[in-house]
Amino acid sequence: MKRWVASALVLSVGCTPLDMERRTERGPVLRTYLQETQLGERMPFARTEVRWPQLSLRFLTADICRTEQHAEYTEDIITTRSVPGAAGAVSSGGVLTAVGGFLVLGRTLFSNTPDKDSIDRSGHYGAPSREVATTWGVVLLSLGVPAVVAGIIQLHRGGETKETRKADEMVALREVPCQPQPADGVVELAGGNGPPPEPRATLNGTLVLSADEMRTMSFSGLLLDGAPVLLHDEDRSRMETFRTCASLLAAPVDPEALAREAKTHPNRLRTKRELVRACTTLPGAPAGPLLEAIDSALSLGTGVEPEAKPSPPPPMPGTDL
Amino acid sequence: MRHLFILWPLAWLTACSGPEAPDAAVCRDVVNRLCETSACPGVAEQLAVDTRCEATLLERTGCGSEDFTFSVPTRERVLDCRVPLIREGTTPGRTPTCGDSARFLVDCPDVTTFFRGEVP
Repeated sequence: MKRWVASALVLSVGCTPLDMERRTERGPVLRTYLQETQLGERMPFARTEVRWPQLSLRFLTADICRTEQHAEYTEDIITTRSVPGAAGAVSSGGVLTAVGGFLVLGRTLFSNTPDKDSIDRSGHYGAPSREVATTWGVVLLSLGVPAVVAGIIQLHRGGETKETRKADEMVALREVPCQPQPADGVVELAGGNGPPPEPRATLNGTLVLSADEMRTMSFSGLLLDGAPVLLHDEDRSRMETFRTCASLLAAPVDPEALAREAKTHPNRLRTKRELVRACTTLPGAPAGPLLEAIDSALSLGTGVEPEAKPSPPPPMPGTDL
Repeated sequence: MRHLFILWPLAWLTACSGPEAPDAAVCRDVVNRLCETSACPGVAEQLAVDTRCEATLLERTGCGSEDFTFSVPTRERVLDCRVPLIREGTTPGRTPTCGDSARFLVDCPDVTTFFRGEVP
């Protein structure tokens, strides 16, 4: 009998749904640290260097170094468990138990004489008041006691638990080329109009191109042993400036032609002046005579002095590498 | 299963009853219920009673004596026939309807004959 009662209680309580709410609260930062890793994938790079009338392309391979900044902090995981209706079960079960207990314990207060005013369909008198009270008492107890026990267990199962653990978060990430090493190989100048130039081998990780060669060549990208070579914006701009200046500075200075152009196409000549002025940024480039001749032609042709102060060099036409 | 768990106390309560009533008490109860509807059409005529209905029936059947016992009809037969008379309830205040008494007289001619003082 006890096993049956226990089993019924376990089943009735065990099947009760338990509402669970979990929330995470972030605690203070314990420490911050840097974690550096190498991706292990070496990439070819190229640096440009100008010493007029030569452009040196220095080829390097470098790894990608990843620097991660981490923050370590504490994290509280708070779990709240509750059973809806547990308090109601305790209170209603308590009332039923109290009334049922009173009826059972106080059954002697009721008459034990049958109800002779009433005969049921089977021919029996009505039950005595004591028997009715006892029956009701047992019924109310059998309903109330399990409700009280179940409610108490459910209230006990509810509550709040707190679990603290460490958490880690990456707050910053930086990837830069690192551990550069000179690289030799066959360089292809690709992406231009017409047939590509002949591939050339580097010497000590360097490929030297003259201004005359650059003037006749057409390419937009570099390949080292078939792998695309990365160029920084600064190096790419310098290479394009060198190519432009190789064309502009190749012809001899002709003041008469410049004077005619100043009269017919002054804006075009001003644009050309800006390009020539950009050549002055290349070490050794003889841009001075041409720049002076253009300035002179512009002042004579338009009657207006060109800019006294040089404006910043115009951006070179970009090249997708 | 859950419904059974809820209903068993109710079944217990309804099954709760006292000791078996003697035949004389059962007989008097039937007489009392029939006579409460003696004013209904046909009831007094079929039972052959006048205004002293209850005293007449008790005298005819011998139910007035505490030693009375059913022979023909049997106690079970009388209890079966009594069912329509307690349809409104078994307590004294629950008077049967004219329809209940008519059904008693139609369904149980043998018991009616017994109450007429004749041998069924």
